[in-house]
Amino acid sequence: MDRKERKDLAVEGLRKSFKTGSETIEVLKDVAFTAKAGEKIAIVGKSGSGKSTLLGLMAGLDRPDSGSIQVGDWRLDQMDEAQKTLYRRKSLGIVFQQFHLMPDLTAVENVLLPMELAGRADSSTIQRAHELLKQVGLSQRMYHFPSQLSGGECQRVAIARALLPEPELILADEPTGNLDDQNAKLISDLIFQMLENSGARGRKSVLLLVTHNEQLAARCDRILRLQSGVLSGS
Amino acid sequence: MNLIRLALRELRIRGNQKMFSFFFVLNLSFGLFAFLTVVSLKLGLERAISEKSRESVGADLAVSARRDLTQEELKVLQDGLPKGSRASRTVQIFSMIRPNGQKRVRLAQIKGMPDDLPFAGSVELRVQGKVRAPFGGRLGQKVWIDQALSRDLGIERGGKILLGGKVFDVDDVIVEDSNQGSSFSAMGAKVMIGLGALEKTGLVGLGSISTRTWLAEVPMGQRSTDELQKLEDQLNQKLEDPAIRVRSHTNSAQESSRLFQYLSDYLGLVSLAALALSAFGVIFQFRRYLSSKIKGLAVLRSLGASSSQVLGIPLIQVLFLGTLSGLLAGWAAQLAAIPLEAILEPLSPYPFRAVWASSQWVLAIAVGTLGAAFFVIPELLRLLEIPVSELFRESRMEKESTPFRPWAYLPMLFGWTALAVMTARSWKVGLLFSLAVLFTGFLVAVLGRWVTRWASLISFFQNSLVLRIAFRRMTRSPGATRLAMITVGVSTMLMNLLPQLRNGIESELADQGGSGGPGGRPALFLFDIQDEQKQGVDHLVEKSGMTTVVSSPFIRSRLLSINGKAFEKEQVKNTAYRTREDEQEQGLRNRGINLSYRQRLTESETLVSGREFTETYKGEGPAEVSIEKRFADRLGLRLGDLLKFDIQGVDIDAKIVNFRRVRWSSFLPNFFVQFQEGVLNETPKTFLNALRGPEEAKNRFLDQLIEKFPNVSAVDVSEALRIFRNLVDQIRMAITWMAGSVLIAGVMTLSAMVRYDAASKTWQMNLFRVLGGTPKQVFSILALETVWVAFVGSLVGASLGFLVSFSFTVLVFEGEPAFSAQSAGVVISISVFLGLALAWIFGRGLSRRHPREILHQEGS
Repeated sequence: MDRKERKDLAVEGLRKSFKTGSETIEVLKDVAFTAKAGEKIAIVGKSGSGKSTLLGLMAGLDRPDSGSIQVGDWRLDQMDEAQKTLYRRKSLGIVFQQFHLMPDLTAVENVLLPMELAGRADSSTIQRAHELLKQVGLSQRMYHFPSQLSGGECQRVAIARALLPEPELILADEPTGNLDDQNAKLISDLIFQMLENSGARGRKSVLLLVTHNEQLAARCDRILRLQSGVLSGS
Repeated sequence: MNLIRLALRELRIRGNQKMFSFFFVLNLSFGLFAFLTVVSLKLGLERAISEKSRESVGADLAVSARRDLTQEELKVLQDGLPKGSRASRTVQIFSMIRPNGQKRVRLAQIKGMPDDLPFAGSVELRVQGKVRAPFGGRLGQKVWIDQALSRDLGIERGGKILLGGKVFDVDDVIVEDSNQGSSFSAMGAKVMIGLGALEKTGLVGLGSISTRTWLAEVPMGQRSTDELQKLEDQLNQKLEDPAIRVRSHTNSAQESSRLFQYLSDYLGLVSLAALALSAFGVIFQFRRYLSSKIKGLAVLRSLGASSSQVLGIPLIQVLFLGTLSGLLAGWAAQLAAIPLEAILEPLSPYPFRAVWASSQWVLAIAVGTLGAAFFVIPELLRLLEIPVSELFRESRMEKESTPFRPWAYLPMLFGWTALAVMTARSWKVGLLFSLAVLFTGFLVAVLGRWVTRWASLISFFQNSLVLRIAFRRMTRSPGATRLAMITVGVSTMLMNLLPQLRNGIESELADQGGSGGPGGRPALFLFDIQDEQKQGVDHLVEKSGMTTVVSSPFIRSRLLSINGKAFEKEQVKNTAYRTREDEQEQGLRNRGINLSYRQRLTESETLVSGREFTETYKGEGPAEVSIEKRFADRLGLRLGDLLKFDIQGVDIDAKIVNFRRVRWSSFLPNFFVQFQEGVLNETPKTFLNALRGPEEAKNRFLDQLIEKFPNVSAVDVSEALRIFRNLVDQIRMAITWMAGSVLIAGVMTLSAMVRYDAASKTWQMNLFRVLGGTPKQVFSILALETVWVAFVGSLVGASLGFLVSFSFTVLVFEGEPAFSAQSAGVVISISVFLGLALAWIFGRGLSRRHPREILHQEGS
């Protein structure tokens, strides 16, 4: 398929179920959606609606029972673990609710981590990491360890980390869920602003934002609602 | 719900708490069982001594000296014994014997037994069966020989042996002798003979190395340990000569089993090292456990639970697990005692069995519970210092940001040191051992951290992501790394100490230049050469093709005073707890001093301080005297001190002009006290000669020696070395066994650490995987950390092991240290391999975990 003709993100007929004892719970039921590069999509749903499962599948951390997931040139449902590892290195950025920074690496090392894993941490990348940290307002905290940073600062590092590889897909799992209102607004502004910036540089990523926060969801281009494993949306 | 029920229920219901309980108990039990095993062996020996010591000595009381008692002393002895007592004298000498008409000769310990002795005990004879005391009368002009002699010389009942130029009939072969009381038993096979017959041989001459022992039996009803001890004290006081030793049968048995007791003391100390290692494991596991349940405790505190209630739950759990560990260790100790008993029995003068009494269950539970409580107190106190709000942050305990409170570790340190002192029965040894282990731990921690920090700064390590993460973790969270390194370091130090010590001893004993060659150790050691025989023996030596290396006069004396202050005989302390220092002090004071004279030092002596003798004594002022350094240290002597000796009835003043260091293992005649020439030359004396020469010359010489000088005894140095080596091997087996328990305790502790470390890394490694890291990289990080800890810990530990063994060899054995890079290399390699194996076992699971878990986990 010609890259220009296809969608940058395409999920079709996605099904996933888990067994708990003798019972099988269908967590995702025939989920399908597409997105274009630069598009920002919010996924909203209650606890247990299947949001984390969907994120896991999109991150290549899990394998669907059926259906397909296409991210750029990557067909996640057909890849083995080694290919998925490559996919995560090159084409995926993740922002977690709990920040999840490596505690023994400094802020800038955390930002550079995916690039180092991909073997792409050259001097220009290091410079870009510094720039990103400056953009998120951490120019004075680059060599601090996560334990020396506040929650909001940690999340800003996580955002910079997600953006540095200029991935095709950014997954943000309740990125403001662990922050106070002030920090939550700061972080949400930052996410959208940084995406705009990278878009302006010609590297457009799809943002898949999982959130409870309707205001945050409203800032996205589209809102998809996940309810009992069924996706519906505008 | 009361605290106990809550605490115990918690242990039962949650999976990770069950695992904690399991590993906690396993770890502590392994640390405890070796200690309890040694306790049970010691108790077994104590019981054997109390049950068999009277039979072993053959009487209630033994009064021994290397000379005959004077009439006055005999009167003191007779008057001092309770009415109705009886006493009789035996004589023990060393002499060469050989089967009549054959060429083979053997040094033997000859025991002359009067008709009425012994008062207790029995011998098992091959033909006549068991013969009960008194059996001296059955000997008459005949001899009984022991099995070893019968086997070596090929003599049976009806055979004849040549002893002191006379021929005796062998009446029977001794299969078992309840009377074991001789400190020389390893040096010569045993021959029992009627006292009259022995005296007729003329072997019991002036200056012969012989022991006269008056055995006394007191009336029934006056034989309690306390009464005999009192009698011993009284007689020791009345018989002033330090060369006369009065011992109750219990004290005598204690002394004859001293080698075993020293060894079991040492084994006890090694077992305490295992306990220390398991303490690290227990502390580590408890810290992890506490951090996993810290939120629950925070909830309790926020709901109004008092500090004691909050601490009560984990403390109750620990006490419960400590009890379980004590019980399990007690059970394991009973099993472990069986092989160790078999290894140690040949070293004990008494057959014994390990004893497991109810008091040992109490000890096991007490050490288990108190030990566990002491180990975890610092962690619990740390918990108290954290504000409730902070407790809700699970990672708080991990960050170790509470201040270090050294005093919180004091109960543990005091408890452990007290155990070490009690086990070693020596303040000095116990404290030194504790300090050595603490120092090793401290040094490993400091050096390990320093080396790791520097290594982490090397650009090579900085450029590799895996290396950087591994080293950053070790330097930024040093607590776990430090504990693991200390564990590896201390166990490696102990493991490495043993082969190094053995190498040191063996290389010292090894035949450096061949037994007959110049510069090597002597081939024969002759003693009891009378003054008038000296020339004849020298001639025989020359004629046989042997060479005299050193010939030393041998003179008995008593030290009367030091700088005018009387040198008094030390009483045996009648206390349940007598330290090894007490024993040494008493041993030193309660013996006569054998001395010699020579103008120059021999090849086995080195001048430590002072000056050499000026020249031959001119008869003016005090004579010059040289003192062996350690002997001087024990008596607190200084250069220039004035000593007064009683040398065969004549008082002689002497002034210390130098201190010497003596290499005792040279097998050359050496003495604590050495006079200058010209003072004692006319004194009645015997000579000790060390000879070198080839094997055939040696045999030729021995053959003629027994013919011409039947009273002169010869120790075959190779044979003595063989006996000594067997002894060392037996000891080595026992120590290796115990070192194995240290190794197991170390491995257990290290396993716990690696396991918990791997578990604590789960979310980090999942994150690493999510960001694009591979399982191989995850495993590499864990393996690198573990291998580094094992390598640095074992390297420092092995180096310290060498340093300690070096100090022991130089300071204690006063020999040449021998470093075996091979054994150090093996120990380090084993540690590294073990680290890798543990990383593989526990890291495999970690690298295989699915990274999706991170979506359900809480992070840092």
